[in-house]
Amino acid sequence: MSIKTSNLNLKQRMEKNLSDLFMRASIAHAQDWINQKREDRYVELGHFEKWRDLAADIRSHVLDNLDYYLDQFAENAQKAGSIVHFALDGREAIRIASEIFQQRHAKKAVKSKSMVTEEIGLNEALEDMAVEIIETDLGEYLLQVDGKDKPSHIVVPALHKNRRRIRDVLAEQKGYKGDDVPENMTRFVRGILREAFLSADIGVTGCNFAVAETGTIALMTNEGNGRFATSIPKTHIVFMGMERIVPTFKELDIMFSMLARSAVGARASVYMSLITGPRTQTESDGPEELHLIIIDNGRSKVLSSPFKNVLRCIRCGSCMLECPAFRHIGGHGYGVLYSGPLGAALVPVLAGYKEHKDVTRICSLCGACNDVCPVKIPLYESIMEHRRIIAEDEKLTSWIQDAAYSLYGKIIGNSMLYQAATKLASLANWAPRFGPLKEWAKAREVPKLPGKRFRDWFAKHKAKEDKA
Amino acid sequence: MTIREQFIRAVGKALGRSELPTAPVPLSYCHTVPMGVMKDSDQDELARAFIEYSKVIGADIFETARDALRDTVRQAVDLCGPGAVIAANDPLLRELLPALALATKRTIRFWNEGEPREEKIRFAERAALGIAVAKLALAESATVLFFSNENCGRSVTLLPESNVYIIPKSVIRSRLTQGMAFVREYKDRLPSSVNFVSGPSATSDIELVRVVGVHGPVRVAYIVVHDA
Repeated sequence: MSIKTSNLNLKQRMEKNLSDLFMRASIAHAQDWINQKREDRYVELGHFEKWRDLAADIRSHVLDNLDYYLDQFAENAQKAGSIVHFALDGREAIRIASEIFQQRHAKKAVKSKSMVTEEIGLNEALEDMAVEIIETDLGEYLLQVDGKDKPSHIVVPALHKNRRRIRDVLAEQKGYKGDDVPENMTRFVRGILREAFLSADIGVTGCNFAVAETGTIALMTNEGNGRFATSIPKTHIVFMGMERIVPTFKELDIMFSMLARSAVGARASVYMSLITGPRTQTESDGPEELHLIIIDNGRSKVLSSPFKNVLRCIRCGSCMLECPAFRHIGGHGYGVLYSGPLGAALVPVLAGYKEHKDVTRICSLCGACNDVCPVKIPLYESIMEHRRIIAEDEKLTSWIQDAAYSLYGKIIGNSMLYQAATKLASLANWAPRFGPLKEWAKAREVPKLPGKRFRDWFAKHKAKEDKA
Repeated sequence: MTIREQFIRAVGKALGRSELPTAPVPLSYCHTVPMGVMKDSDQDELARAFIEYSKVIGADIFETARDALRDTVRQAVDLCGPGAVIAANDPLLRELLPALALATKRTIRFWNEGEPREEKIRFAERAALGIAVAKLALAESATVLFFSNENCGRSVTLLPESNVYIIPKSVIRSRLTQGMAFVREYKDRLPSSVNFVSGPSATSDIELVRVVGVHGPVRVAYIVVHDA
């Protein structure tokens, strides 16, 4: 996978996802359920705005001092025995990882859910090297066995699949013979993945946060797959987006406290693991070597742009779960790895306007995402600014759109044209049937414009009164 | 110039700097809310909060006095079903478990006992039960803290089907704020793996139905010991 996840255009993606009624119901249920849990957790915690202020300040502070903290983190990670690599882009990260696999003759890897590895297309690259890479987050595993399907949400990736589909896929691909009860299917997958963990050569993880003062990797999981990947294989490779840093454990407390509540509405995740270097000589389990691959892949471009604050993101997914557009089209509708308001704000600057300008159109600018973001990213303002850049700076709008706005400008700026246009406005009553409003009008009744303008009616009415 | 220097210099350039700063701009906290959570609770209230939230996250909970701990451990172990036990090499467990092994005819091994790595991991994976003593516990989220080392491997609290954790009441603190402050005290000698654990492993990945026991333990029992 890479940032782009679909070859369909925006309209095709809309049509496809709007017609997936199970997916839409699942997303709506997830939004209502998780949003309520999240709100409950913040109400009982109290002072949500103050916690948000703290979290936003910490993330901004890290971004403002990122060069210092990256250097400090790398220094301390090396002191703890980790091998630190730097990759300017995804290709370089894959080259580094490939060398580690080749040197160890590794043929099997287990992977804990990681967005940055999806971003750089790690799985595909390793498969090309004949390495079996097994996703171990339950949702990601179900997607992988179902023809490498794409995640529909950043935290709950298989949200678009119902239990019958999952049972059928497990039966067809893995010989499952049970019913479609989630407990039973989970138990079956547990058995398969246990053996994978015990026999894998390499464990691959992402990194929720990286503590600069100790060179520690901090991971948060509920299933325990992160702990397995960092405990059993002899080699552990961490892929880390360069902005994941926190200065100390004091700041990690605040970020973990916000992430668990915002992502799944929990006071804490089941496992919060702090990994500092490989195992020591006296320990029996844990990896013998730990590689950290720190990745830029467009992030320094974001850092120097007006969209720097988007890098505050802690990947909780709460903006998606609050978004009315996401409710209707799910993650797949965006056609990019990072979906929802975060995707619309991040992807164009991370991966280029030319290919990803359409993602900024999937937003009604309602601002609901801003109200829940635990690190106060100005999401809808960023999306609005992207739209301005696309139109004014990059000039990437369609000729029809340009012509329409040009015509509109001419009409508004000329009283004779304005008079003529408003007199002919009632012709627009045909638009729902033939024009660009056709799709919109399928589910809504468009108000009819009267044949006569108010000012004409008023002038006529006043003339009558004056005469009387 | 090394790749690390090139990389970090590019980050600095994106921030409008040509040189790496010698220190960050100081981080000032605009609020002190994390310190305010349960700040007036005494040790009994923290223990009560820990016990109440343990039930919410699906852990089995036992309370006992120090002199009744042996019997309570037996009850918790019986609850987890038959099978071998892998235990952390802790003085308290060294005192309690030999008698338990005799009484229940279970195989009990301590993590530090010499075997090759693979055999230790395989034993822990086949064990019905792992037992460890919490280094710290957090009342707000019913979380227990373990440091991995030669006496308590990562496998002890991860691989067995069930886990029993002994939690002296005196180690219960308010929340993660105090937990991270505790870890920070060890910043110059941190173990390679530190884990905060809150109940049995869980997922909601299939139709948002909560299922316990995905990869880690299916059952977790907490024993709170009124030690003071």
